[in-house]
Amino acid sequence: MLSRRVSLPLTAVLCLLLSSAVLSPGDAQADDEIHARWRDFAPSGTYVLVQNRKPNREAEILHSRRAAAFLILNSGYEGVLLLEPRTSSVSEVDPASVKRRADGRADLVANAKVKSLGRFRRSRRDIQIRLTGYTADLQPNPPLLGWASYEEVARHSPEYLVDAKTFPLDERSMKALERFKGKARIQVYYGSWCPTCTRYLGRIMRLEKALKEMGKDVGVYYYGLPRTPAMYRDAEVRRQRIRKLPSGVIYRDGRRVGLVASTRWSKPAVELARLLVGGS
Amino acid sequence: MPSAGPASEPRSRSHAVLAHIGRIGAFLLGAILLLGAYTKVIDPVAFAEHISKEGLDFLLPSGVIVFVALALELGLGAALMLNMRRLEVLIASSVLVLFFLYLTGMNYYDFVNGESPAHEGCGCFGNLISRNPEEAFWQDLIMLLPTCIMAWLGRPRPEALTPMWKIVFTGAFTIAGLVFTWIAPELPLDNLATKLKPGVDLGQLCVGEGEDKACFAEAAPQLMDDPDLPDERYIAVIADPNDESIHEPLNAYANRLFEEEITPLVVLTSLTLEEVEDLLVSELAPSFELMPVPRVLLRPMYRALPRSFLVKDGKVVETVSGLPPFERWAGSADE
Repeated sequence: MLSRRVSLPLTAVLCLLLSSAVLSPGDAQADDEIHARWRDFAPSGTYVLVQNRKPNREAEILHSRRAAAFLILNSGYEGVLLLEPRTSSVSEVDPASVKRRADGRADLVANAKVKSLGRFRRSRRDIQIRLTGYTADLQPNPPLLGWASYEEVARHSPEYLVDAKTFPLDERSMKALERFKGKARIQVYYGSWCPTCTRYLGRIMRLEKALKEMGKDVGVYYYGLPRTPAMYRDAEVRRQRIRKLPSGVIYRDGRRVGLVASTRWSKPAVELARLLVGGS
Repeated sequence: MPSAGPASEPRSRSHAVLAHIGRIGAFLLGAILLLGAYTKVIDPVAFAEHISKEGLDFLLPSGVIVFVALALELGLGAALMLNMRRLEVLIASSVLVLFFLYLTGMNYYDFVNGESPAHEGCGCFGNLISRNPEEAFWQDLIMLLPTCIMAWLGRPRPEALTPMWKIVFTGAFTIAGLVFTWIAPELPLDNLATKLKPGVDLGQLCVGEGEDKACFAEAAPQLMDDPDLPDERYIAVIADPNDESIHEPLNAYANRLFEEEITPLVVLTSLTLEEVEDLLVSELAPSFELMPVPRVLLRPMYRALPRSFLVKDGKVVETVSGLPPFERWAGSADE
C-alpha cells in the first residue's frame, strides 16, 4: 500500500495529465480524428462569394492545397459548402464536422458527414453554384484600394491573419522599441494581389498589434493599390516614390525617417527598431 | 628613269600596317560573331522565341530563320577569323552588323521613350548574357562598328586566291555548327546555356538595372527567408502548370509532403498571379505550391520545361532536365 506522502503527488500528476489530454486545444487534436484529405483549410481572400450581385461579406472562404478544395462557411446555405474543383463537385458538410483551430484554420473530422449536392459550373473566372433554393458565384476578389485599417485589411485578405496572430517578432528589437517614447506613423503601401505582400502583410499586422499592446503611439495605415501597371499611376505611389511592394514609409514625430521595402519586411521589428530607436 | 623603289616602299609599308589593322579587326569581329552564335547554338529555342518577339518571322517561320541566321553568323565569323576578307564576306558582315545595330537601336529608342522596360534587352547573346536596351545598343556600337570598319582596311589584293583549306574549314565549321544546333535541345547543355547551374546563389539572380532591377529574391521571397524550410533545402521545379502531364507526379510528391518529413517542393511558373488563382478553381487544381515568378527572371533559367533544381542555403546544389528524381532528392528534410 502506498503511503499518503507518495499517493497524493501521484494522484495530482495523474489528474494533471488527464486534464491536459481532455482540455487540449483544437490544434493538438489527435491526427486520427481529422479527415485524411479534407484538412488544412486556411482562410483565403482570393475569392469572394457573390449573391444577388452583391458580395456576401459574412461568408468565410477557406482553401486547402492538400484537399485541392474550398470550404465556404456562413454561405447562406444551411450547411457548410465544400467545393472540389478537380471534379467540379459541390457537397454539403455538417457544420459539426468542421473543427476550427485557434489560428483560424480548419479541418474536417475523420467521420465528417458530407452529402453530394451536384456539380458547379465555370464561367470565365467564376464558379457558379446553382442548388435548389440557393444561388451563388465564387468570383475573384477585387483588390482592396485606398486607405484601410487593420480590420478592413484582415476582412479583405484573411490569409494574413495566420501570421498576424502567430508570427514571432524579434525579441531584442521589441525590447528596443519599448524604449521609444515619441510618436510614429507607418504608411504601408501594398497590393492585395501581390504575392510578396501576402508574405509580409501578416507580419506587419503582428507588429502593429504588439506595439498597441505595449501602449506605443505608433499608427499603422494601410494603402491598397491596384495591379500593375495602374499602380504606377497612383498619386500616392508617385508622391512617395514607391517602386516595390510592400513599402512602408516611416515617420517619427512627423518627420519621414525611412522607407522599408519588399523583403526587408521579413523582420519588421528589426527594421522599425533600426529607424525609430537606432538599432535592436 | 626614276626607280619605283623609294616611292612604293612607304606605300607598301603603310599597306602592311593597314593590312595588320584589318586582320585584327576581322579577327575581333569574327570572334564576336562566333561568341554570339555560340550562345544561340546551345539554346536555339530561346533564340527562336526572341525572333518571334521581335516580329522577324513575318516571312519565314522562326525555326528557319534561326538556321539561316546561325549559318551566316557561323560562316562569316569563321571566315573573318581566318582573315578571309573577300569582298562578299565583308559586304555580308557589314550588312549583318548594320542589321544588329538597327535592332538594338530600335529597342533602345523604345526604351528611351518608355515603351520597353530596362530588362527587355537584346537577346543577341541568348539567355546567358543579359543586357538592357541601352547597354545592348552602345556595346554593339562600340564592339561591332569599329571592328567592322577596321576589317575593310588593307584588304588582300583582289587577285589573291583564298587557300582552299580555309574555304573547306569554314564550310565544315558552319555545317557542324548547324548540326549541333539541330541536336542541341536534346543534349545535356542546360547548365551551360542558362543562368541556373550548381553553385549559383539564387539571391544574386537579378535582371535590369537601377529602379527597374528585378531580383529572384524579391520575386520569390518565400524561398529566401522561410523558417519552415529546414536549412533552406528544397526542391524547385520550373514548369508550365497547364501541362497536364506534370500534375500527377507533382501532386503525389506534394501529398507525401503533408505526411512525411521530406524535402519541401515548390513549383515556379511564369504564369501571372491571376492565372495561378484561376488554376486553383480549375480541373487541374494543384496540391503543390505554385509560385509565380516574372518571366523575365525565369526564362534565363531553363531551355525546356520542366526543369528542376535542388537548393540548399540559397544555393543551387544540383539541376536536372525534366521532373526531379524524387526518391533521391526527397531525403530527409534536415539531411
